[in-house]
Amino acid sequence: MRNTYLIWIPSLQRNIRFNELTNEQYRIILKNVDDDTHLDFLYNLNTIIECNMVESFDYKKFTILDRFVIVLFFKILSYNSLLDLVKECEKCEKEVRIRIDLNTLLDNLGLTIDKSFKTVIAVDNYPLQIICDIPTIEQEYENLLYHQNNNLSNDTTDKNIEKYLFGYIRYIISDSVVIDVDKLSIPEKTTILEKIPISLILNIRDIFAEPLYALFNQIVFLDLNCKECGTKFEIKMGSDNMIYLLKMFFKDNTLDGLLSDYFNITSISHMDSSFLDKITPKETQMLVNFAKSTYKKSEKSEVPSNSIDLFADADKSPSEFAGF
Amino acid sequence: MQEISQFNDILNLLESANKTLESNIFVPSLKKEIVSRTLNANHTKNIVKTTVEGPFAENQFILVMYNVLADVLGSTIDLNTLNLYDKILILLQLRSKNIQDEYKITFVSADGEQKIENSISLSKHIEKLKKNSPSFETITDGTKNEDTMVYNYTLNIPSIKEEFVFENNLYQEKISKIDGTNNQQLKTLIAPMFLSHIAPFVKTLTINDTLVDLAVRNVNERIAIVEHLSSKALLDIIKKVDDAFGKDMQNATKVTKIIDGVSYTGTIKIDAAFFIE
Repeated sequence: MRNTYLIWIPSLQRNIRFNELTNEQYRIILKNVDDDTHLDFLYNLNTIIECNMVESFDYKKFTILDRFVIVLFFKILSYNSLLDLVKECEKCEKEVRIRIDLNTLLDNLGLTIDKSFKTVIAVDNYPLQIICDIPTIEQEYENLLYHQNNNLSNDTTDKNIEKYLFGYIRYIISDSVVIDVDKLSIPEKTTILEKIPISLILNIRDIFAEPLYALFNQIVFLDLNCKECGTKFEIKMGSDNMIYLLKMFFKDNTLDGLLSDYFNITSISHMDSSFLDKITPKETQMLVNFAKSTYKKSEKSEVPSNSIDLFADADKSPSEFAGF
Repeated sequence: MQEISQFNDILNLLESANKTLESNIFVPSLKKEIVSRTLNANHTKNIVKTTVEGPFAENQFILVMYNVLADVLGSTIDLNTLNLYDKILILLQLRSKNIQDEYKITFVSADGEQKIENSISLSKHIEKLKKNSPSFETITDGTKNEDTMVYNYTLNIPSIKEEFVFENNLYQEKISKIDGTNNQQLKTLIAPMFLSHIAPFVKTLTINDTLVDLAVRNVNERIAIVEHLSSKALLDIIKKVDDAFGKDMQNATKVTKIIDGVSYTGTIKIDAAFFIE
């Protein structure tokens, strides 16, 4: 049995119970943080979320904002809330060490994104309405995969405008019908959404997209000055920054930390690595700290006089030990 | 609620819903209204795209708007039969009926000292223009050299399609081949851009009793012929185009307002921002 905890899901406005993140899962994430396409990273991350859910829920319906919160909790609860980053100052080219407490970000998120963003957009005298919401993790992955499979860039002016105008459209509804836009293929979806009247699209921009972008830009992930030259470093959550921030949660010094902890604990103990795979990074860290302190204690303490020094004859050859 | 998932069913549903937003658009040269389909997200996307074209934004906006007009009016009218003054009025009406009638502009006092931002009702402005629509006649004139007529020409306002053909040619032949961030290369565009604007107004030329019907020639030939006119003839043509057509076209986007006894003038800038802000 693994330890579990409740995580608050903004889009559902309720808690869902999750298993904690194991070392094995943490290592899988670490292996994929440098994936430029984001596909492997997101696939593995989304799968880990699915595997760690205790109750039954279609994990693909989590919004990308829900996932952001889930992963933030994974990081804080299964390892620690501190993020140690190193950045080279663009102006003075000196290395700047940055420590971020993710609990602060969590507090900030609680004040800004803790709500359902689902919004109905309509215009006068038009029979159809649009339901907008934050994209689901399924939508995000399918979209990236489609572009990868078709060797299309996802960062052209066209695509960025589409993301901005169409990225939040989830349903088209009228009094009697509903169209789940997510069920359409990407080309079908684009063709359909391109037919939406400009008045409705501009309402989506004004009522949903613009306030959302403004909200995301309020969430400051990092805001400090270079100690050497005073250059300002600022990272805002933004709407396009989310995947990079998710990667940053894992790309900090824990990359070295976790792997060296892993190596240390297996080399100084006789623990089975499958056992280590099942515990959390936080527990690994505790084990390492315990082992280190025990080692230090044993180094400091002298050998008691009445004890037998088993290694007193260590310079003897094996045959001497055997008494031959 | 019934869920629709078939692509064609969804398209049909949208098509029939969009019919509710069709509007009647007045065309000055026809002196009647024609039916326009609603502007849609695809049009918006293409209009937004022109805003990132930097120095070529105007050219790209003309090309995009031609396609937009062909799409929303194409089934009812041939764009070869509508002129550039019609285009101004059509675009004003499309903005008013599809996006918002209210439009904010900056008004400047006659002495240029005071600026005020104020809203106007586009539909009221359009009503005024409808009452005073100019009818553009073909101008026949010539350029003399010491009392000897060198050139005779006829000028008229270009059609929407003619403007598109010239701008598209400018894009294909020149703009698409240069680096928009290179100032030296950008300077080479000034002459072709100027000629592409003025040449569509010149319909015929008579040189030493030889009539050249420019309207039936291709764009490159038309530009080359106008380019080879003497500078005096070209200046004459520019002045006549401005007097006969330019002023009316400028007036169509000019708005005057008296605020606290001071007369202010503002201009409706018909560009990408006009359709997305």
